Amino acid sequence: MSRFFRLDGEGYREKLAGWLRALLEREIVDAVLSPQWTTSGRMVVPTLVRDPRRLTTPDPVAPVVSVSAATLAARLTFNQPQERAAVLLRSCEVRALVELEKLEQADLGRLLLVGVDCLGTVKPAAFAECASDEEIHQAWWQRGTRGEWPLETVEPRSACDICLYPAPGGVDLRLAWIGCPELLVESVSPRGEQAMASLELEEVPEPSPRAQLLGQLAADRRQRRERTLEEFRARHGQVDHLMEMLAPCIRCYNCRRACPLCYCHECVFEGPIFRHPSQHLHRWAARRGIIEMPTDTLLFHLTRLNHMGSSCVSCGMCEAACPSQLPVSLLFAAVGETIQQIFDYEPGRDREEELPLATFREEELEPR
Amino acid sequence: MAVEREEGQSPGDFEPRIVALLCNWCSYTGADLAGTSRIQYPPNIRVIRVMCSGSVDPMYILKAILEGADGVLIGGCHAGDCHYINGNYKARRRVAIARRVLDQLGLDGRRVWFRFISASEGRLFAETVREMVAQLKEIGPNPMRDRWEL
Repeated sequence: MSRFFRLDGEGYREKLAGWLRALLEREIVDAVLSPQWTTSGRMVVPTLVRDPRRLTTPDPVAPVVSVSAATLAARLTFNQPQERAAVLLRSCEVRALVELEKLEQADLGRLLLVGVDCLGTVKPAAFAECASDEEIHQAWWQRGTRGEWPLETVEPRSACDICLYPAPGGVDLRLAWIGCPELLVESVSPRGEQAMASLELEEVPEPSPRAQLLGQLAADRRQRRERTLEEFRARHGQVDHLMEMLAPCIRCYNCRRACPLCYCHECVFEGPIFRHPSQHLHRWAARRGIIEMPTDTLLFHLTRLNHMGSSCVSCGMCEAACPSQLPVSLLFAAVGETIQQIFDYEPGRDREEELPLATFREEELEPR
Repeated sequence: MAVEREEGQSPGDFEPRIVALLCNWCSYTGADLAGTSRIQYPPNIRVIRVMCSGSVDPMYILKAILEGADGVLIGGCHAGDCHYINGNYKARRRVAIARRVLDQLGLDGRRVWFRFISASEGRLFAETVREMVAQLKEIGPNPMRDRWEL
């Protein structure tokens, strides 16, 4: 049963800062992971805060993500975590964190998951360009509460454009602002209830436009997602087009580094298997007469699709990190979805659902 | 994993080349039995012995296809017979995913087969190779054979 609470303070940042400080001061958590404005006021970056006085400019509404907070939250739980932390996460980051837990890369036991409404984000560089403009700044809160894309001059990342979950599920608390007159905290789990219990905040009914607005957004996004992925499949469903699409790849592996789920410390593609001896390269070149250098670019992308496609949460961090601006997040969304359909699996939907690649049945997938 | 080009081959008499990754305990022994029993099967297959079908990373399947192999056969033990308890079940899921990826990107997932073949099923092994060659002849040559990019 969800309950909404009003926070004390003026604007949404003051309200949020006050509430997060209270979580620390009342020792409900030991630390807070939240995006905050840098001192220069030009960028919003993830911060880990233990001193409530240093919680001055938290802003999870600002439409930017530099590093997936799922990666950061997972790091906070590495090697027998003792500290309790409230982690602010957008819906893609919640889903990625759930997948990381299933992959045994995160321990959610001591985390208070605070989901944040999100209408989409832009790349850090694009954000830095417009962030210091006070007018834009003012507008994004107002447009956002109406469910509109908050920035007039910059388009959202393509993954955000087709994201189905503006309000994250599977969390303890939710920072609600879409369809709300002001920033509210919604408690949605027993752990969330418990965290809110001692704060004595005023309970308010769910703002009337919220449910309808979220429903409308989800329906619009679903339609757009289906159309976009259908177009993508139609265009790249032929190997020639796929190769054309991937041709500008510079093999920097940024996509796999930015991916919150690619958890191998050393990717097989960066290890000794692909440090080919010179005679191998010459032999392959002799066989076909020609090979592209470096070798195995297509193999890299297709292997990553095989390894990660079943868990891809469509956060688009890969594409944001790509210097060649390859539509890798659409590739993963389009192909990943068809992989997930085999197992009726939706990444990040449910902590209890089994990971397709870590489970199996005696009778299934027949005929082979 | 290099697939050598055969000499003097014209498009008319297309002979598919199949890379077979066979599990040491069942399918490889099954293939061996087919040989020692003198069961005839098409010579289109190049066998690589692996310790378990569960050790076949999709990367190996994809590498063979991208290098121009017309088909990849993965052979594992029957349900409940895996020497490592569940490697064959894992392989079945991985192959299902690999086929789906290939299908989505225009590389025809039907080129990849996964079969349970036990150590005593030399005849089934030969039959499987025959069936696979027939289907690959229908599908035609792997378009990646003549591509050098990526």
